[in-house]
Amino acid sequence: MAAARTEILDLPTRASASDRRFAIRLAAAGVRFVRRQPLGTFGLLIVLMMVLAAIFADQIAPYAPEKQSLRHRLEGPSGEHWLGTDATGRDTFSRLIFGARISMTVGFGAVLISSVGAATLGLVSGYLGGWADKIIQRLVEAWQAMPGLIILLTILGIVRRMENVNVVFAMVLAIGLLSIAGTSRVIRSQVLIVRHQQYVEAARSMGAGHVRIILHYILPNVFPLILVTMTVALGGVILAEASLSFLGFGPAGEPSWGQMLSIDGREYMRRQAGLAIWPGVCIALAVFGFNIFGDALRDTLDPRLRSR
Amino acid sequence: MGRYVTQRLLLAGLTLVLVSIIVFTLLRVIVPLVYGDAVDIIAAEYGGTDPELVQDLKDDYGLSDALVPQYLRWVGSILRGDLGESLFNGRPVSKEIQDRLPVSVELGLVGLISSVIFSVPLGIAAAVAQNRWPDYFLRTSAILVDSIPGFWLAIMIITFGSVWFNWAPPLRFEYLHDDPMTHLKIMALPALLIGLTPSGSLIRLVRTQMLEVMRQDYIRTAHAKGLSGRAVVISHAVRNAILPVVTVIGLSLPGLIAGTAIFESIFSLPGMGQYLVSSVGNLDYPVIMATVFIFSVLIVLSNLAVDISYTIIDPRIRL
Repeated sequence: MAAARTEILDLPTRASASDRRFAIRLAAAGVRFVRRQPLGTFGLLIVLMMVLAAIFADQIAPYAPEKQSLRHRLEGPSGEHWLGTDATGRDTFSRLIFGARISMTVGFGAVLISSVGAATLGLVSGYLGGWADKIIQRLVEAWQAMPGLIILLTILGIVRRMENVNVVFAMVLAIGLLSIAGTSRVIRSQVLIVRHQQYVEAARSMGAGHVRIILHYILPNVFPLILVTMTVALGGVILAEASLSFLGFGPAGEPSWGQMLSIDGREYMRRQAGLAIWPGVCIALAVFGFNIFGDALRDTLDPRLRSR
Repeated sequence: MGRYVTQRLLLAGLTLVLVSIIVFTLLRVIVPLVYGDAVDIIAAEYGGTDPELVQDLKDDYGLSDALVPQYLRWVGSILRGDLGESLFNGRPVSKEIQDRLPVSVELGLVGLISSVIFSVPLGIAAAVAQNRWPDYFLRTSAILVDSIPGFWLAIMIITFGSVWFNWAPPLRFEYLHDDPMTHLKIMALPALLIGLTPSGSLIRLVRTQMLEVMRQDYIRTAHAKGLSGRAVVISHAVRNAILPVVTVIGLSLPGLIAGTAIFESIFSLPGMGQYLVSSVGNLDYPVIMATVFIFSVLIVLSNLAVDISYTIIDPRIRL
């Protein structure tokens, strides 16, 4: 298993025969996943749909998200406007599609930052052990006990008023940095188990340096866990983004689901219920998709849970 | 036991120091760099550009000192219980917080308690009925509850409640000591919705913990010596399954507290979260610094309570 994973990481330097073997093994794993985890596959489909909507929003959306049409204000669903229009006649369906772009950007961006940070912190802390580990862990605990959303709200409230600052980027950075702590503890606990394995001892006795051991022997074996925590974290980040946008601390000028709920939804939902229903459905669907896909991924990748 | 509690207390102190540095850096270093001092902002808003007056005001507020003395002075005044005054209406922050803190704490506590009351029995029920339909039903519902944003649910209830049942939450807020019935009517829905947020993961966690414990040898022993199924579950399994649940309750506290900010805005309740949200809009920095700090104190205190309750539930920790 360990050897197999290191091989994957060394891919570029290997011959094409092992490439092909890797591709076949990956495809087989995919088929097994679909067969054993129907609910997880359903989640994966939702996730893929959201990601595609975010990437190809310009091509999919029938209207520009900010295009107003005062003659078609607060309309119900029709052939022209599938999910109706809002108070200034903007097409709800198109705005939802573009809303996926913000959710996915913030979701994947923040999770990328937090995973890289958490992996580094968890690997270093778990591998070094001793005093360094103790100090890092105390800091991580303090970091974790901070009121995340409250601090985010304060940061974004300030950042939003600045010119030349991209609010989406600020959101990605702030959410990413704040969620490093929790994830790093999960990764560290796995590193503690892996670093006492015999193949690590073997590598050390053959003269491998610390960096080589961490990157080639420990990281590949913690990697499945990192993937699982990333997927599960995505749902939480999307929910956090929606809450912040809902409270009015999200990006202005671009449609996001939370903001659609707070502005259009709350004001006009009595006249056009769809304005309050659809953005909420999108948020719930995205979070649901990532949650059940993450659960299934954990069942598949986490060896401790495999027997259950 | 003593050593463990001391260690936890030190950690709580460290968290608060960390938070105070972040808050201070954000509001007294970054904001002034970008917008100028609070005094500059206010002076600009009133059209006052007299540089001498602005300098006098800065000296009054202690904003012209170096950063480290400013930080130490701020920490010192917090320790003395002086949280400053709002820049916008001049009201002392501590007075405002005195009125608002009970509202938020009540929301959070009622939410947490209702969440535990619902989730723990449901989780146990799911575990006992493992892989039969009640289990499937509860697990699916738990995942759904995890995914549905509470603020969306709140909006739906308010809208469709008024459309279909002609029901709406009372408009004017009443304190518990003034009008208990109206107060309960106002608080019940937001508190329950706050409690819903951690319920999904709580149900799932109680279920996995119960399943883990039910496979242990002492459970088989209990069955073997002829105890009824119910007695085994209640007196042998639940007590051992509950410890990680306490952890998750602890971990869900920041979320609960953040939830109060969201639901206070939706239901316009005069709590801490609403205070913070409106002050962030005005850049009212004494209020922002004080409220964020109080939120952190709340979380640190509840984490401390969770840590200490471990020693009561699980004697092994008392080493």
